[in-house]
Amino acid sequence: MKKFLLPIILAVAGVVLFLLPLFQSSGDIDVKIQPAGVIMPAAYKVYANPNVAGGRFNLFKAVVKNTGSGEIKNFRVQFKVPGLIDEWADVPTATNLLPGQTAVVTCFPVFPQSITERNTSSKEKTEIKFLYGGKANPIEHDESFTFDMTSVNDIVFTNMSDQDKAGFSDLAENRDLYACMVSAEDPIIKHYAETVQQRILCGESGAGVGGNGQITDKDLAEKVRVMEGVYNATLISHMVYSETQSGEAQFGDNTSSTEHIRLPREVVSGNTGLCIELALLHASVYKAAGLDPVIFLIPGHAYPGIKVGNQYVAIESTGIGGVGLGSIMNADQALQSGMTELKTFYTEASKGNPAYRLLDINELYSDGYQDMELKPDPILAGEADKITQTWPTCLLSAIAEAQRAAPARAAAPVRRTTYAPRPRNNNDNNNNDNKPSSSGWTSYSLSNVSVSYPADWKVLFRPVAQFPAIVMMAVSADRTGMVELYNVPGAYNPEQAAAYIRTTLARMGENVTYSEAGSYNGFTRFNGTTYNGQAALKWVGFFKNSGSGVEGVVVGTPGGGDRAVLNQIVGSIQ
Amino acid sequence: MKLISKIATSICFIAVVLMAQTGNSFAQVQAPDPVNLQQTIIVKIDNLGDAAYEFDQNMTQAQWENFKNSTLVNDPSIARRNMERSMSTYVIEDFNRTTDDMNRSVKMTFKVKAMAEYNGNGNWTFKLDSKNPQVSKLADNSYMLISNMYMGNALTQQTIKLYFPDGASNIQQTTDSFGKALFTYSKGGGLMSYLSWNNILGVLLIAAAVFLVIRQQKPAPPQPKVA
Repeated sequence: MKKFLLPIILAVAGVVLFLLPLFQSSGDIDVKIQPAGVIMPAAYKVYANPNVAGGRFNLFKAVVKNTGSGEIKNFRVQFKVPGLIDEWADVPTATNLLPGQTAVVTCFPVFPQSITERNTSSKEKTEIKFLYGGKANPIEHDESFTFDMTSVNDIVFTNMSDQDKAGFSDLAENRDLYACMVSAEDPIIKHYAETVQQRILCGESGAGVGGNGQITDKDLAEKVRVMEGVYNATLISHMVYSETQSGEAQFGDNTSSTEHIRLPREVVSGNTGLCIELALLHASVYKAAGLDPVIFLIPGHAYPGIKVGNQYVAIESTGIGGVGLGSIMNADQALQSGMTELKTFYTEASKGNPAYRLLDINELYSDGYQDMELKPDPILAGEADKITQTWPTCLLSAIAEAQRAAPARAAAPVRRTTYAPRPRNNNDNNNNDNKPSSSGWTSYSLSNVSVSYPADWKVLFRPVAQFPAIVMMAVSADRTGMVELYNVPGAYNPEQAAAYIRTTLARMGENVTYSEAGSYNGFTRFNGTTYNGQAALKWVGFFKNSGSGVEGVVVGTPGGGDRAVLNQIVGSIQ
Repeated sequence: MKLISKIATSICFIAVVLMAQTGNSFAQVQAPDPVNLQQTIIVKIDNLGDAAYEFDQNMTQAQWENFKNSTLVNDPSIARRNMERSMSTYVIEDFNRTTDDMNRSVKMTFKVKAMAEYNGNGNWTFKLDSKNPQVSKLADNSYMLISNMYMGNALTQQTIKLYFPDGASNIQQTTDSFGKALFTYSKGGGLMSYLSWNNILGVLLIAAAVFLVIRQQKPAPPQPKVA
């Protein structure tokens, strides 16, 4: 028996070694995960597309190496994001790994559409399972990580780690994601665009291209008319420019600028927007109208435009003004301003200045940047409708009608009475020289407002045919003093009337700035300045509700006016 | 592995820089005459599906001057970073770049992990991510692909030589479900792929035991009788 001892030992050892793999795992894996620091719901379709930006927008990248001695079989990777992707979802990967072999597994999650309803930022968790081995001996390797999820309105400008950043492009590498916020398919924007076409443009053919594909002057003019129409829509809505939240945030090893962007539907319903928000609104409506929208990004600013063949047309969408901007442009001025800015853009872009970036929306869409799918929102839609319902049935017809009606209105009967100037209180006019004003005064009344002025002032009734809201204007002989009476039917309050006057004058090339200055004798008082390109008229306005709208008086001087007289005029307002 | 388009796009920053220097990178300006660039890319796939890349680009004197003036292109770390970001689904290692002033050429070498996928049983897949590429066979395990494309405004001709691992067999060009071209090939597999060193050593030990038993069971040779 002793002579068989060695063969028995060898045989047992051999059998053990031969069968050992059956009792071992089929391999060991070493996993290194590169998680996304932040996910932006606005780009949820981009995250699902591995072809966008070289696959940069992913949830995680896992580098898996087979460090064992045997082949890994039936390799699978699954993930879930509780609350968003609740079922385990497979990530495409190689099924087998030889010893020493590496697999790179990149996850492009298909987030549900409901992600666009996220209005606040949150911390989310990703769970990952690495599965391999046979049915008899399955092996599971688990990993997890948390990431920041922004609200649907937020753009995080870079995903690059701080140590890799070098220049401006790195700090703003995600600018193309603005394209995801161009929402031509949003039901609210589609309706808004249709209303612009109906009421502002009174019908249009923005997508018109010559039969042979050539862009004719007429086609170009029609497209520009659409651009001006969108601008006018924001202008007559009294939409104003306003700032929004922006800042800086830390996402893992990345410190990035962030910006809270109101979506076009929110700009329409809120009737206010930042430059990029207005640009996104314009681009959305242009696209809905069949144009080829672009957005020009320059340092600290953005403005929209269209691409027509190999030309670009730009418009300064923030020309609608706001307290911070100080003036209002009409559509032609906004277009002129946009084209002027475009020249600078060309110069800087051709130098390769990375801060000047053209977002060609259709081109970005073809590259995989897609717009969000937004559900109908009755509240926002209602707010937007309230605004669009204030538009005339057809703006062009309304202007023509106003022009036709002007002479007739000028002849409308008005009450005219004589007026004796009230006794002046010298204590109230210490700064005045108390020189006697003109010997005679006359007054002019509307239904609820009256004012007196020197009888020798020249009076013009309905002085601006296309702006019948100016009922009467009286001007001193030396043109240093003037008084105007306004009747704005349909206005709900003095603020709306003032905004309407400002907007209308803007269309006629006059830029008006004003601020509310409390109340006076039942009137709401405004202090303001009107520029007509040559001179500035400083004025004070008094408005109050009348039976069917708002009436008011504006008293002003381009400088050099008789302050005593002007004060008396103001004092006479009733 | 999305060889053609990924590498092309990744490397195109050179062309883009060249075009930017010409002042015509912005699209609304009328397209200038194309600036021709010649690029050669050699891809060698190893036994584990990883690929070693060699990229060469020769330039004209004007292109070379522009190329040299670009701080971006002259910074290899930026070049590597940009390539990594434009190929985010891959792992790039051993990036290196050299320039040859005398021949006005730039050469980049790097390794990309997991370019070919292993499907088990010795079967591999190598995706091209392009439809109908012009492929010609150079040898049993090497192929050549030629493509022309615009990078910026430069008409660029890429010649890609693709080397499969030694011992690769049954190399075939086919298409995936989306009509994109891919190569399949065989490497490894068979019975030997199921045997690890444990199995082989075990078999050897058992064989040795059997040998010893057989030898010990042999009858001893008859002893000569002593008279």
